[in-house]
Amino acid sequence: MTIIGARSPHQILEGQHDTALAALAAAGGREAFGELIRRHGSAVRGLLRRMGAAPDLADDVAQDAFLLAFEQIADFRGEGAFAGWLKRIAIRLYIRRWKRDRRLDLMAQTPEPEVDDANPGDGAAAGRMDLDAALKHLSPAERACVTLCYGGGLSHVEAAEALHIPLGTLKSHIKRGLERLKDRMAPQGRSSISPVQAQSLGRQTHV
Amino acid sequence: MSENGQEFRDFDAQLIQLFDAPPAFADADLFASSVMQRLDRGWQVRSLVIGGAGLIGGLIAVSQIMATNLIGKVQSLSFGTEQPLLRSLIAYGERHLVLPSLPFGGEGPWMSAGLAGLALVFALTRAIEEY
Repeated sequence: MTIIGARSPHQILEGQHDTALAALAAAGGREAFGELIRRHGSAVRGLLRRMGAAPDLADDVAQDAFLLAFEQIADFRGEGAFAGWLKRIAIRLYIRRWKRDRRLDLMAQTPEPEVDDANPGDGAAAGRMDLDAALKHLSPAERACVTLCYGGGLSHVEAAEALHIPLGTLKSHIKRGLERLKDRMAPQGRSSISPVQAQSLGRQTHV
Repeated sequence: MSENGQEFRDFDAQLIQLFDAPPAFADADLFASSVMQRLDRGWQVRSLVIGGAGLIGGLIAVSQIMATNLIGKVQSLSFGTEQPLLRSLIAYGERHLVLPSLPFGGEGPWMSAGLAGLALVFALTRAIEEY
């Protein structure tokens, strides 16, 4: 007998919430974890590239992050978003790699992220390209600080601790980074953000 | 609220929205399958390590049993009993489990072997983590 409308296991997993998939993965469900990789792989890779990692390094760290996440999946209680939990793991690994390679000085220049948008005419896709292009014009420190707070969801205090820099230094990097982003991303002819207002913005967000 | 203040909030919200939207990668499927392959490889190696550790432990246990002549002691204790099952077990052990006697009777070598096995497992585990 053929059941009309029966869904394949893959389709069933696609319909599951992240928390349910994580619970399945914690019970040994490899396919469930595979679905989580498909859902969040690009976000993690993109975050690392936006932080300034070269594409190969970003992918390598992203893979390590997923493997570590699978090891620690039982620790994920579903209290926050799975994506946020995963991104924090990736950030931690990337900064550890930085330390290991003695590149925590944030001075290394990084190549432009290779972003492949299927529909460049789409407004959101164009905005993403603007963001990635604008991030390229930030210093490595500004780029890392802005991305950690806006893309990684870390508070200023958490980001400063993660990067092992004083809170004031982090805020300065964010302020200057926002100014540059604003300049790069604002439509032609519009005034740029003032330093005082950027500082205010930096205080208002993610603190 | 000033016009500039509103502008910041708009820009801030726009920035958060842009960061939240993940970029699309042409090789997204390839990346996912690469992670799954590494996951599978890790499982296979761990299975081998666990199996190997079990084998080593089992060999050590059998060797210890042989070294202490446990089967002989059980056999001597069973003299005079009329339990056919126990007799059958002892006979089976004599036929299949008794190995040539070992040249040393101390426990030191076996403890060394056990520690060597543990060291091997530890080294392999570290290798897996690095891999």
